[in-house]
Amino acid sequence: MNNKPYPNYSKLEVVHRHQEIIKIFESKSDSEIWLAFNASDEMAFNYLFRIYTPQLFKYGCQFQVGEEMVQDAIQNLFIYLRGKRGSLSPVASIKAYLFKSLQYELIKLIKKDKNKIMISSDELEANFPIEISIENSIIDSEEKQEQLINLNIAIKKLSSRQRQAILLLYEDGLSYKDIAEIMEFSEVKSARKLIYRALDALRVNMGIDKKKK
Amino acid sequence: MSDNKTYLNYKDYQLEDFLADEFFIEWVKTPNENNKHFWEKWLSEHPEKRQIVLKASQIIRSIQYSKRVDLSDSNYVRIFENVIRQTPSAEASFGSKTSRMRKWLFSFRQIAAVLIIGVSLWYFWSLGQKERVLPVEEITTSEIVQRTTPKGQKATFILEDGTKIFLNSNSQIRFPKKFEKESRQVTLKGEAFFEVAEEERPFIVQTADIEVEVLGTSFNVKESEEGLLSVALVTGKVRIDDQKGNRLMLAPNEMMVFDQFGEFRKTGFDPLEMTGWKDKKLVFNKNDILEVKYRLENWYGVEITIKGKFPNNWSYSGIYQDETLENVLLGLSRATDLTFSLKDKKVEIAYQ
Repeated sequence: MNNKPYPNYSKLEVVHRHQEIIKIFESKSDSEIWLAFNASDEMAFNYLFRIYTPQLFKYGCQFQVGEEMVQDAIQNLFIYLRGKRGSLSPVASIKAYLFKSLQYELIKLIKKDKNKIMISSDELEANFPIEISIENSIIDSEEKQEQLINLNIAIKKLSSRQRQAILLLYEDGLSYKDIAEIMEFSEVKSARKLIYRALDALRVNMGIDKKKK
Repeated sequence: MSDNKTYLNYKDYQLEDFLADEFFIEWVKTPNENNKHFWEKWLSEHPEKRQIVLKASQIIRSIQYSKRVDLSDSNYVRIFENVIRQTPSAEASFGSKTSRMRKWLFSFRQIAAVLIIGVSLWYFWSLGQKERVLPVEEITTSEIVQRTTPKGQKATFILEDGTKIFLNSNSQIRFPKKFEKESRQVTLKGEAFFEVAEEERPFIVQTADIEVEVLGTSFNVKESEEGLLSVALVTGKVRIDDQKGNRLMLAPNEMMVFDQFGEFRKTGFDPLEMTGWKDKKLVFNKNDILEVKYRLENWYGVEITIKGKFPNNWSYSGIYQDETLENVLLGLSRATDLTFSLKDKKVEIAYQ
């Protein structure tokens, strides 16, 4: 290749360049950014890559696959998207779209992996482990400490789908609509109900009574 | 937990209601001016809820991914370079589109089998829940009033409960002469600004695609010709339920825009630009010639023909308070390179 678009960029240069671009796109809506990307705007691509690659990596690693496979999936995803520029459909929530697409790419890689013939339900159940982080400030009383221990026990009883939905809601700050898209629910209502059920289970397992309203 | 619970006011919220509320979670995880303003105010008015709010926010904050991995800089750069170098040409990726789709579908079938049980359980569970029934049919006993404004005319009126409605031109509103005991409901086509009288019954604005429920006082609802629908909140609080079952909250100075596909986004808005019309202010803010034409036609009820080719970067900004069409056109022609002629209800605008 004679015309490498990005010849010998040093690590620092790439990271720095991307930080500059963030400032330009920060105030734009997802659909605007997506339109720019579809129109082959390289800055839009750089922005998407910069913002979402770390998040995609973190999210992908919650499926019990190796970190290298997640990196490959991210690479394949962006190669695919760049190749489709000009004919991409509008996207309202880039994060939800990318998370969902990363899942597809991961499944493709898992299928290619000769060692794995099928994903067992046990393996699926191990996805999305939750950790209860203990901030120093909030364990200032025994009661609160007990509450955290109870929460930990309660979390363990949730299904992986419930954990996934709760993590998407809390950790990734996604809306119910986005969660429904990522988790392949045709209706937002279903995502809402999955989470209500999980929270209800948490409440019961934490021994908090439902008060009469 | 029934479906009805989500219609409760925040003061009736229990722990799990807070835990499931998007607006509450947003405040805990990413506090910004809007959500802080609301929740701090709300908490000061409901000190008895402090304990439960604290507990809910602790739970939300403490739940995290247990695999906390970061992508190293060297891997980040490696992936970036590989993506740039390996981008296939447009034709190549287009050709493989179908096989790609097939693979996705195929691989998903295996997973679908595991999930289908879960999904159907939710479905049956949801059937058992009491759905909220809108009392539309019951209204037939009460008399319905319909108001329509043609292009070039606006209307203002006050409903029996004291709510004030500014109806923009080319719009229609329907409401019962006497509201029901449970709720106050109106149906809107076009654009209107509402100053809702505060009382216990919720005030609901129904459009073709969404339902806006008012928790506060003043807001603007607009269906544009291009199929965009916007709800802009000035004061108070509104809740929007769209056809897809999404529930969205708006805080003051926030606007929600829906496109014809039901996709939506939240933005801020310029109050003067959005709601100036109700005070007879015709506001242009960097509008292109087609937007100017559309606005003037609606505002004055005229027909406008555009002559000549306007440059792509042509735009116009200006504010007119209760002005005649001629004066607005004069203002336009002075600020930009255009000429106009005005005869009866027909206007011709030409670029020089």
